[in-house]
Amino acid sequence: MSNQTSHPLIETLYRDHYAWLRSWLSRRLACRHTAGDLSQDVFVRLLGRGDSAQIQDPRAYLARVAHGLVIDRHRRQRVEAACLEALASSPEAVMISPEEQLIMIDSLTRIDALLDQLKPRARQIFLMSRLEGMSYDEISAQLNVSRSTVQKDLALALRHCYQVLMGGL
Amino acid sequence: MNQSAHSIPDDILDQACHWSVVLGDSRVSEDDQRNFARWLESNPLHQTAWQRLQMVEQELVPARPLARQGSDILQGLAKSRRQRKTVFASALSVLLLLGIAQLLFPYWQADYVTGKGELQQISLDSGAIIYLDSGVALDVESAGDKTIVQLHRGRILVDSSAASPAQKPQVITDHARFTPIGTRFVITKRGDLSELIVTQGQVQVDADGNSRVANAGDSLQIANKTIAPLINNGLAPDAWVDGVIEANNARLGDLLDALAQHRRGWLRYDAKVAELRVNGIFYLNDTDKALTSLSNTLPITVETHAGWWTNVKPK
Repeated sequence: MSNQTSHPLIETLYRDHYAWLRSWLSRRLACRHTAGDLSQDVFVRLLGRGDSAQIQDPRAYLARVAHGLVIDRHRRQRVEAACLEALASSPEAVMISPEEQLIMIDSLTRIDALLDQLKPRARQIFLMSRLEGMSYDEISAQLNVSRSTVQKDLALALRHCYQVLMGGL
Repeated sequence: MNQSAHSIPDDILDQACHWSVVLGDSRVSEDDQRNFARWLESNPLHQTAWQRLQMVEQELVPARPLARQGSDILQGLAKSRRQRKTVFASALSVLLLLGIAQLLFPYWQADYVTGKGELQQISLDSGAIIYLDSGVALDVESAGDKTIVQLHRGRILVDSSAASPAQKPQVITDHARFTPIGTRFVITKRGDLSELIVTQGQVQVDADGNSRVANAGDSLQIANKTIAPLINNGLAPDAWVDGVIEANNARLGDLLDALAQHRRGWLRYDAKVAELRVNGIFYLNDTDKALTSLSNTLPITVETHAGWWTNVKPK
């Protein structure tokens, strides 16, 4: 086998955390059978990565891998459609490769799922700060809100994302 | 020690979020940095919380090159979702009422519905006959010469021997379209899959791009656009048409499931008895008698409470 060194680690991960991952997933999916299947998928993905030796916080890591798997198909389709539309309407971005496109769609889908249910202003502030890289001063000027509102909403958004990604950990 | 055994208390999570906001400021001071370092070192849980929060923030990293464009895409999606919600809310009250009806009687609008213990026959103009097992819901549509049977739930047997090739009825389920080439076949739709057992002639199966011809004796199951062989469970696939279950080295669990389909109330069984093997013929119109004869020949006890609850346990 190609990555023998990482297999014993994955075995340990599986033994120690499979039951936990399964219950974590079933709380998000409301279906025990799918949760079982997806838990298996998470470990199959780990086998394919081979970087499991560096995992310090196994449950946080597993939760993050699982987050990508619980995203439903419709959300991905909508993000994909929006991405393709954006690409079609902006000439300078047409140059990106299919691989880059895939990464872009994947990543935006994950973020979209993370921000679901977050109140609109906190969502906007979070994206301006963490995705667009705007400073708090710039955001406060553009949205015409105080600097402390920006900071409060940002903390709220971080907290929200943490709950979605790692909640119940 | 295994850090992930810890869940993070709310107040520590709040502190971690606070520091993430402070350090993300273009005007972060040296004092802030020192205080953060002190906070981080003062408690191992602080470190765990901080590392996890960094993992959350890393979710944004692959999209960062998109900057404004990515943000616009995501905001556009959220906006259209909010608009949909508003339209949705007004339609919701009407849908809610229909939805409740749908939940209580999922196929109340279907053309043909059979209840528990009920068998039915439909004779089509073409001469084809459709037999409905207990618990079936289906619609029959005519399109010119063709008849299309939409099977929503349950098991039917189609005998199309009297119909001309052009008039043989097609059966459609969520999973596939079945076109008879020959004469007699059984189709079951249950939950996430459809099953086909051909007893005479041939049937063409089309499952969203995958197709094949099933011959007499073939058993197939169709789920997720894939067609796979179905393992025979030892129960004759078409004996129910004659009002019986015919078991030939079948699992007791499969036989009891089949009886439960035709029996009023609940029939449950202990997993320990499910693997026992059974042979014989059992009448569907007298499931009590079937259970009695099973308890006479197998190491099982059958308990019936108030005529509604039946429990099959090891003796």
